[in-house]
Amino acid sequence: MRDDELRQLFQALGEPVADAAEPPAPASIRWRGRRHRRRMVFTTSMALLAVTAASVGVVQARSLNRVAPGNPNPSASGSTIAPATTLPSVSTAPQTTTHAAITTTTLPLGAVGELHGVQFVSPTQGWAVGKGVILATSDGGRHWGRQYGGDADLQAVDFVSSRNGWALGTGTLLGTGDGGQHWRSLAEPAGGKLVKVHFHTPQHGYGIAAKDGSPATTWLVATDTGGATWHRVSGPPGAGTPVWDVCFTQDRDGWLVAGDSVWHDASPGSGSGAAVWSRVYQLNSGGDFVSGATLQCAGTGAVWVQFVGGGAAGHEAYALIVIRNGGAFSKPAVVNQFTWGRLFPGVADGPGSFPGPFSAISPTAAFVLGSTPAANGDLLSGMLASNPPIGPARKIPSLSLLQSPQGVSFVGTTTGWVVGADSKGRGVILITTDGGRSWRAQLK
Amino acid sequence: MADDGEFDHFYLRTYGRVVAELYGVVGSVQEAEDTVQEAFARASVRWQRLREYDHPDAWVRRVALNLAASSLRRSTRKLAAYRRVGPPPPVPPPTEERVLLHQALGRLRRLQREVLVLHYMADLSVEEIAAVLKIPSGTVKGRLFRARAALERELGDAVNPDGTEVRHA
Repeated sequence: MRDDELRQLFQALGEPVADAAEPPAPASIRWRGRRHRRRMVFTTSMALLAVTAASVGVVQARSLNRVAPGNPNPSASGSTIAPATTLPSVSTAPQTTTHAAITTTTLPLGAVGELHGVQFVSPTQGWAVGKGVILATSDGGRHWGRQYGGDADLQAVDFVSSRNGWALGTGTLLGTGDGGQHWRSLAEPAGGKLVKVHFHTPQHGYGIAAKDGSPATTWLVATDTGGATWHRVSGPPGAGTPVWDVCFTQDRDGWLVAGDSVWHDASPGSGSGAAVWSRVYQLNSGGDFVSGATLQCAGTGAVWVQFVGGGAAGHEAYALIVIRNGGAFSKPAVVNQFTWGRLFPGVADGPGSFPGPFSAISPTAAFVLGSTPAANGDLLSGMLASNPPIGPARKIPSLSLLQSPQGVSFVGTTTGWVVGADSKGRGVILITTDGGRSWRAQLK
Repeated sequence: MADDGEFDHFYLRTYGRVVAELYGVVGSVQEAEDTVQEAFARASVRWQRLREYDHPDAWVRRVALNLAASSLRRSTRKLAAYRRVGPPPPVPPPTEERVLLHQALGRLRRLQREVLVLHYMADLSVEEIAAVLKIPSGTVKGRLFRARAALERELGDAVNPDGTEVRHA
C-alpha cells in the first residue's frame, strides 16, 4: 500500500470524528485547568518547584524582636538586619533546621495577583496569601497590609492563634510567631515537598509530603518544632493512597483522608505514642474514582470532608461530608446532584457544577463555594451547608467581581471572606456579613 | 483578557483535529474527547509559556498521548462518564474502510498506533514525531516501519483472508 493511500485511509478515519467533535466552552476548559492546578499543587511543574525551592525570595517583616515558630530565641531587641535579596535554598536533608529570618522594611501594598488562601482567626484578624504575597488585616479587612513580597507561590495559610501561623507554597513553608511581623523560611521533609500542613499548637503539626509530584507517593509527616524539622509518621495501616489531607485539633484527636476513606486517631494519652487510627467513613462512590479530598477540623471530634470525583459533561462530582462525635456520626451535607446524586438522594444540591473551596465553621455548619462555567465566565455561588439543616440552603448571587474563588474563611455563620482573582488575574477579597447573601469588595 | 482570547482561538481551532488523532490511538471518541479536554485544560494554565512555542499543539498532543497511556484511569473515567451522561453523539455512519482500519489499529500495540496516527493522520514528519514523543528519530523510523508492516498485515487479513492484494480507493 502506498503512503498516499494510507494517508487517505487515515484521513477518512479521522475527518468525521474531527468534524463531529464539539469543543466545550473555552471558559470551562480554562476553569478545569485552574482547578487542576490548584487542587494538585504537587502536580504543577516540578521544574517550577525546584526553582522556587532554590530561591524562595525575600521575607518581609516590620520589626525584629519577636519569636518565630521553631525558634525559641528572639532576635536581639532593637537590632536591625539589612534587607536581603535571597534566602538559603531549602534543604531536603532529614531533620533539617530553620533558616535564618530575613527581614526588610514594610512593603507598600502594590499590585496583588491571584490570591489562593485566606484565614481569619477572629472577626478582625486575618491573612490572605497568593503568588508572592502575604496580606494581613487587624480590622476585619477594612485595611490590608503587605507582610511579604517574594517569589514564593503561596497556596494556603494556617494560623493557630493571632501570633502563630504558617504559609505553604510550592516548595516553600514560611512561619511566623508574631502575627506576621517576621516570616521565616522553614524546612521541608526529607525526600519530598509539603503539599498540606495543619498545625494544632505553635509547635505541633502534621502534613502531607509528596515526591516527584505523584499522588501515589504521598506520606504523612509531623513536626514538634513548629515546622523547623519534619519526620515521617505511620498512617493508618491499610489506608489507601493517595493520602490527601490531615488535621488534628489536639495531640490525640486527628483526622486523615486517604483514598476514599476518612480515618480518626482517638488514642488515649497526650503527645506520645503512636497514633491508633480507625476508619470512620468510606465514600460510597459507586465505582467512580476519587480524584481529591480536603478536610478541615471543626472542634474536638468533628471534621468536614470534601470529596471530589471525576468530571464529565461540564460537571465534576463532589460531596461535602460532616463527621462528628469522633466518627460516630457522619452525614453528607451537600452533593453535586448531577453526578453523585444517585449516591446521595435527597441531599442538598451543591452550589455549582464544579466544587469550590469550603470553610468549616463549627461541627454543624460550613460554607461552601461552587462555580458553573458559562460562555462569558464562571457563575459563582456559595451556600451554608449543615446536617441536620440549620436553615434552607441559600445560594448567593453571582460574584461578578471574582472569576475564580480560591479560598474562603468564615468566622461564624454570617461573616466570611473569599479570595481569588478577577478576570484580569488581579487579587480580589470579598466580604459578606449576612451569611453570603450579599458581598462587597475589600480588595480588587 | 487577551491571553484568554488567544488560547480560546487556539483551542477551538485545534480541538477537533487532536480529538481525531487521539481517537486513532485510543479507539473511543468519548475517551479521546475527555483526554483531549484534560490536555487543553492543562495547556490553558501554561499558556503564557506555550504561546511562545512554534507549535503549541505539539505540547497538547504529547500531553494527551501521555494521559491516554494511563489506561486504567482513563477507562474508569470513561465508564463513569457513560454512566452519567450516556454515550456521546454518534459520528456519521462509518464506511467499510473506516471500520477495517479501526479494527486493524485496535490489534496493534499502542506505540505502533501512535506513530501511525501521527504520521498518516497528523501528517507529521519523522523528526516532528520524535519531538512529540521525545524519542530519537531512529526509533521513530524503526517503529513506523514495523507499525506499517503490522497494519498492512492486519488490513490484508481482515479484507482478504486468502492473501490476495487489497486496494483501497
